[in-house]
Amino acid sequence: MFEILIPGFILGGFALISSTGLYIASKKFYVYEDPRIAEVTELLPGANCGGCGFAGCAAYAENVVNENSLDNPCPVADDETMSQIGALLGLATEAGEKKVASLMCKGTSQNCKSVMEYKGIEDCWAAVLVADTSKACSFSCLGLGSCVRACSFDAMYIEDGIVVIDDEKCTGCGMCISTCPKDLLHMRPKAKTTTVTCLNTDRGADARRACSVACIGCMKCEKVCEDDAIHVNNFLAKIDYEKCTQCGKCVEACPTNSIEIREVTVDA
Amino acid sequence: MPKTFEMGGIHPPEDKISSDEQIIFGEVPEKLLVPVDQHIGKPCEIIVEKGSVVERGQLVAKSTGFVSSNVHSPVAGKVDKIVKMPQLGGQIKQCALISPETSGENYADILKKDSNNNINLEKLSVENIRKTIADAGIVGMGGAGFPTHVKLSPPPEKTIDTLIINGAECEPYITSDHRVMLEHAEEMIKGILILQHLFDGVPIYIGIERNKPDAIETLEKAAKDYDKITVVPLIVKYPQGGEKQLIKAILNREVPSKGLPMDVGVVVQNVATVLSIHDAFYHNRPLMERVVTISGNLVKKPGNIMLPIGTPISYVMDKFEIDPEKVRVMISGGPMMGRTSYSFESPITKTTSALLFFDESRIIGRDENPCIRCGSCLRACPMGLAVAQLTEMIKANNIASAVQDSIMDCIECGSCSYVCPADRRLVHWMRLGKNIIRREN
Repeated sequence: MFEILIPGFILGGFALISSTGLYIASKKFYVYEDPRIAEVTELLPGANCGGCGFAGCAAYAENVVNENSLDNPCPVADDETMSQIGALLGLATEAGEKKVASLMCKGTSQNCKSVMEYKGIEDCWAAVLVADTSKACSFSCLGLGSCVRACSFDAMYIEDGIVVIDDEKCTGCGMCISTCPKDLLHMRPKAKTTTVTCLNTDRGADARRACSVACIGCMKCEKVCEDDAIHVNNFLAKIDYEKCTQCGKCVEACPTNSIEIREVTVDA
Repeated sequence: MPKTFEMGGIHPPEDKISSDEQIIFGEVPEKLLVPVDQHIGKPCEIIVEKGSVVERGQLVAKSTGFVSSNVHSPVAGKVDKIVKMPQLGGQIKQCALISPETSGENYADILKKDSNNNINLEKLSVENIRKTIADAGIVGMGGAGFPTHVKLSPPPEKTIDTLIINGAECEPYITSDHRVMLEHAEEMIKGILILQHLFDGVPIYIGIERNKPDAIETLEKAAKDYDKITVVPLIVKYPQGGEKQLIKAILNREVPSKGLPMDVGVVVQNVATVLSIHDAFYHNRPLMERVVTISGNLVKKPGNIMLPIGTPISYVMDKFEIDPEKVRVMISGGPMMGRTSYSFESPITKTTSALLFFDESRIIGRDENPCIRCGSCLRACPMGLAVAQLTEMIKANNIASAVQDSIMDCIECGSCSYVCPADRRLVHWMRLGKNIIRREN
C-alpha cells in the first residue's frame, strides 16, 4: 500500500530540486525590461505589418521606448492611439496626416487591351521577366496581385484586371509600394481624394492609342487649376497635394478621364 | 569515344527540320528597326537622330563602357525616327527606324560590295584584335549576347590554356549554327586562327553534337592543316551548348560554383560569333547581319536566312508565307531557352538564332499542379540543383536558404520544367528567385 508513496516522494524531490534551480536562475540572470515596452505593444494595432520598418509591433515598441522618441510614428495607428502612447512615454505627438496608397492606373480590361496571353506564375515580377507588359500600355497595372499578397489589412483586391484599393481599410502602412514592378503605387494624404490615375509618360498620341484613359499631357488641367497645384511634366500630370484644394476643376477639364475624385466610402 | 557531360541533361525531340536548307538571302526590307540595346551590360548611347543620314556600317549607338557593345546600321538610308518598340525578349526598348535607300536589293549583293582585306596574322597586336572586335560590336551570338571583347580580355591572373568553339547547337529546331559550319567552314577557321593568335597559340576544340555528321566532316576537312585545331564529336544531349556543360564534356573540367569558364582556363565562343570575328577582320564588316532559322509547325517551308539586324518579324512572315492569324506562339531562339514574343513588328537582333512559329496544337496549357516529390527535376538538372526545394524556398520568400543552396548557379536551361510530370513552372520560379536576389543586392 505504501509503495505508491515511493514514486510520489521521488517525483516530489525532483520537483523541489528543479524549482529551486529555476528560482535561483530567475534571480541570478534577471534582465530588466522596461515595463512600458509591454504597455506600448498593447496599445499598438498588433498587425505586425512592418510598415514602420521594424520586424513587428513589439520590435517597434522596444525601439520607441529605448530611443524615447516618436519621430517615426506607427503609420497604421490613428492619432488617438499615438497620443495615448505619447502620454504614456511623456512625449508630445503631432497629429500626423493620415496617408493611403493609391494606384496610378485605370487600365482595366476595357480601357487597356491585353496584347498577349500570360500563363506563367501569378506574380507581377515573374510576368515582367517574360515581357515588360501584357497590356497595350507598358506602364499599366498587370493585375497579378503582388501588392495584394503584401497587404496585411485586406485592403486590396483585383477587379477587371487591375488592383482596387479600399481607402477605408487601407492603413497607409506602405508595404505594397515596393512590390510593384511598375512603381504604380503611391502614397497620398487620405483627405485629398483627387488623384491622377495614370503614369504613362509617352507622347499623347502613343498614350491614347495604348489606353483610353491615359494622361495625354494636354495641360488642360494645368490651365484650369487656380491653386497652381497640378503640373504636366514629361506628358504626365502630377498633383501637388500641399496646394490642392480639391475643387474638382481638373477632373472636369480632363478629356480622357485620367483624373478622378475618389469617393470617400468604398463598397468592398 | 564521343564525349558528353555527366550530370543531368535531357534529350528532347530534335526536330531540326531545316538542317538541309541552304542559307538564303532576302531583299532589304522597306523599314529596319535597329534596336539600340542588343547585349548584356551597360546600355548604349544612341548617336543618330531623326533625319540623320546613315551609311552601311555607320555607328547608330555607341557603347558607354567596357561591358557594352556598339550597334551599326546594316544599310545606307535615313533615320525616320527613334521609336520605342517591344523586343523579341519582351522588353520595350528604343529602336532607330531606318528607311534604306537600297530597299528591294538582294542582301547577298550588298554583302559582296564589302571590302576584302588580307590579314597578316603575325602583325596583328593583341590590343588591335580586341579593339577591332569591340569596335565591330560583336557579342555572343548563341543567345546571351555578352560582349565578346570582354570575354576575350581575361584579367592577367587568369591564364587561358584552351579555346572551345561551341557548335553543339543542342536546342531543338535551331539549325543556323549548323548551316554556318557547313557553308562557312573556311571563314570560321580563319576567325578561329585570329582568336588562337590572341591567346598565344592555345589548342582549340570545336565541339559538335553527333546529330550533325556533315558539319563534323566539313570542319575536320577544313582544319586538317592545323594540328592544334581538333573537332570533338559529342553525344547528343541538352544543354550541351551551355558553356559549363561543354567544358565538362570536352575537357572534363568543372567550372566552380559562381565561377566563370576563365576560372578553369577556358574561353568558349559560338560558331556564329567566330564567323563575325572573321568578317570584322577580312571584310571590315561590323556585326550587322546573322543567320536565322525560321521553323515551327506553321512554316510550310522551313529554312535558314541571312537577315540584316533590325528586320521586322512581319517581313520574315511575308517571306515564309506564315499566316499571322494562326500564330499562337512565336519564339525567338529555341523552344527550351527562347523567349516568347507578342509583337510582329519586333526586330531581329544580334542574338536571334531562330524564329519559331507554332499554332494552337502545340500549346499544352495545363495548369500548375502540386509537386509529387518524384525527383525528376533533380535528376534532369545539369547543374545538380535541388530544383523542387529551391522553388519552394522562393515561394516561401526564404531567400537566404535559396542563396545557400546555390540558386544563382541555375543556367535557366529549362530541363526541370521539361521533365516535371506536374507541369510546374520550375524554371520560371528559378528565374524569379534569381531576379529577387539581384534586386535585393
